[in-house]
Amino acid sequence: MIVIIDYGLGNLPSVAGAVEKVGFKPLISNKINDIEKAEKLILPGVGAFADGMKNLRELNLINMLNKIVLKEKKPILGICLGMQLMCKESYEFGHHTGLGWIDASVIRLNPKDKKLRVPHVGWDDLIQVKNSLLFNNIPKDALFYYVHSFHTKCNNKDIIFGECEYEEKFTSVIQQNNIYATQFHPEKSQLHGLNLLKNFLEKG
Amino acid sequence: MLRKRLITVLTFNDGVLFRTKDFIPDYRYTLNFVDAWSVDEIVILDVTRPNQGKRENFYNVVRQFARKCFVPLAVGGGVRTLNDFKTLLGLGADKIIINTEAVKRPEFITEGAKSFGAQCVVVSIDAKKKDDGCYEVFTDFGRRSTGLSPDEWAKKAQEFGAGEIMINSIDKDGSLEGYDLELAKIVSNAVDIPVLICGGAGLWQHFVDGFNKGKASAVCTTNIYHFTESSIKSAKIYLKNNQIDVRI
Amino acid sequence: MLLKNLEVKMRYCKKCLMPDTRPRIIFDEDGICNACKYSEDKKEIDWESRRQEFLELIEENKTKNSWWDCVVPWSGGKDSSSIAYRLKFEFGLNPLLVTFSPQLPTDVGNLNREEIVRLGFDHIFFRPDQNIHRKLARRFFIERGNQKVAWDAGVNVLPVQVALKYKIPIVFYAEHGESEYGGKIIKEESRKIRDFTEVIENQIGDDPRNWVSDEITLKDLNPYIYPDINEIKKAGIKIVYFGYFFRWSELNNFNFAKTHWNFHTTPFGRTEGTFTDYDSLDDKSDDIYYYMQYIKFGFGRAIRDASRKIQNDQLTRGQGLELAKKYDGEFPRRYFSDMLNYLNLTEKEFYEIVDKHRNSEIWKKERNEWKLKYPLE
Repeated sequence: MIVIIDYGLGNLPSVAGAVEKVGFKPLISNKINDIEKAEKLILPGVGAFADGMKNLRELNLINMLNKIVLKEKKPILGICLGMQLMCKESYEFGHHTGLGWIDASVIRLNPKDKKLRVPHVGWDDLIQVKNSLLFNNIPKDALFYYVHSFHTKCNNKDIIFGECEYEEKFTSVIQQNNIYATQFHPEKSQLHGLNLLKNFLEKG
Repeated sequence: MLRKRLITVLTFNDGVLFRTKDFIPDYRYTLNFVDAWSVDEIVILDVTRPNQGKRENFYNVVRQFARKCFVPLAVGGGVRTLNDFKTLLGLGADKIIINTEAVKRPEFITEGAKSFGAQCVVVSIDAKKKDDGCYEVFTDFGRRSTGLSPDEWAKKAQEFGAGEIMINSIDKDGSLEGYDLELAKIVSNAVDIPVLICGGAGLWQHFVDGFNKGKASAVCTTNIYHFTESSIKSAKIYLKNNQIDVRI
Repeated sequence: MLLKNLEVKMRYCKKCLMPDTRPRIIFDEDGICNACKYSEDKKEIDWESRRQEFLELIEENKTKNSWWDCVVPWSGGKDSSSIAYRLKFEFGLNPLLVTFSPQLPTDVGNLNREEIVRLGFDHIFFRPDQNIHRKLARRFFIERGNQKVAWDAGVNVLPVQVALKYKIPIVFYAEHGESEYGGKIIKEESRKIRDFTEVIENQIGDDPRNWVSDEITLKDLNPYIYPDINEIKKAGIKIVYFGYFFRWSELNNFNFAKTHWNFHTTPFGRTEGTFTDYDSLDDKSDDIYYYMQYIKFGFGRAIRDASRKIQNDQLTRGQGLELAKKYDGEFPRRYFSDMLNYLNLTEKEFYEIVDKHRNSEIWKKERNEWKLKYPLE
């Protein structure tokens, strides 16, 4: 059973629909019992960092997630805001602390070329920097859907598995042991997105 | 390299697919929508007049699309409160489109952006050309004049935190003659955020013009026949052949 | 994936039998459809002044440029033939008859055309590249449940292309469908002058130039692409409806045809799906076309024919109802295998496509059989 963590922010039905489409059973929940019993977790996210952390806190999920992800090493996939929450900190609307699972900071996209508008919205590349099980059967020219104004700046370069270029390269996919995360939305990226999701669910 | 987007816009009245030009049901395309894998994004708008119909019918439409289309969904129409944001996002929307309420209270844009992220907030602007050749923003389904000029309003919307702007030409809507490129350009030049243009697309060449002359980040089409797999493929190949970088 | 098209159950016009599922039909507070209203309104029209308009039109356009005075888009059927006949023999014009070939011409259609040409008419018969046309027919049958989309475009384009080429000043179409059969009038002027945007929106659906694909080039689409409106204006070509100048009546046209030449009805006694034997006989493809209308909107040929007859005071509603109940939605077997062949579909594929276009708001499955939820009572 795959648990999609419901912390009040996120396009949960889309993620659930995608998980079902690739042949798995999703459960949308924020109950400790469910999360503990899950085989794998998905941390989705559409929204602002501060609210995300606030909600996680108020739902008493942080300690439990820390235990399950860092200690028990249960595979977890973070999507978009979910990826950003995994970082140490974020500079979106102030300075906020994140879950700190990955050594990274969330900072604003700031291309000098004004023709490159922010937020970065639309279909863009995924440069496969390192081989990840997520990329199984994903062609090198596959496009994914991004919609974000902030990006994850990794201090630990080893966890960068995928990048995208928007004037400068930014991290698109990270992988750190059992922790996976994508800046783009695989559940919104049609065929390749679904395949990537499937890869995580099957092999993550 | 960020690709340019081709977006399908579908309008619903009380859960029934509608054509905005004459405000009539769109019976031309019946059951069984193609799961258009080639479309880049879908916009779903509720154009139900106040007190005429059940909002739940629209919610069902959103639910269906979210569950079956693995492509980004922007949803709007009658969004007045943050609760509306929450409800629609909860149904599976990725972005929320606001129009009339934002004009009434620009702070609403900021509230939405703060709670849900700027990239989630799309401010949609409907504009008409006046007799003196200038453009004016209209709200309430194009019925109420605001005295605002679309480029200034777009700029303000950006300042208040909008993630994207969607600019619709009321005059050109349903005309099949092409976008109002002048309108598109002035709005696009006024802001730094992505601009989606809508209203008047009939030929694939109009899309090309929309990108080149209208300076759009994304072009929208409301013609239901543009939403089939073959149509989208055909459009994208045309765009590609005209040096517009799209996702094929 | 489902898109709800209809919220409420089907209502039928209180006067004729048309249901409110017909695209663009409007019912008034008394439950009467706008086609019935128009047929009443027609009685009030000053036909004498319309006739004068017509005479002025042909006088103004007495051509210096062309051998022909006008183009008549012509199928050989009772309607277009009546127009052609009257233009030549009543008004002394020299029409050029222009036919965009039926997809699958019938014998009786060919025969009817021969009867007219024999009376003394010049005739252009254009059959488009069937390799391309069949691809389009197949594509649109699958996508839109209508194999005649491209044909509709061709029928609308060819007469105008010919008029331009030969510098013929007038094109006489038959009747304005939106007025006669219940539709949306975009502007009053379009009752008289053919508005191609209306044609695109209501009949064809999208611009044929968009049909380019890996199999079909823009050049291939030439027969389906409307000439530049400015060129038409510059050439001074008037594209009008005969039915605006002269009161339109199908029955009158049929009687006229029978009286003035040897008009052949269907050799099979009755067209499938209806009780008539004289309408739309020239294309084998029409049977399936009207059947798909039944699938999508819940009304077929019989309801359509009966409604027209009721509007023309040829049948009472009760009589029309009986006939409609008996024949509407009858599956057209006669040319079924021809159509499967033409569209390159197996029977299984055909039925799957039909069901894809079946409107689930008006159909229900009862004991493995499809039944209309709100049939005529």
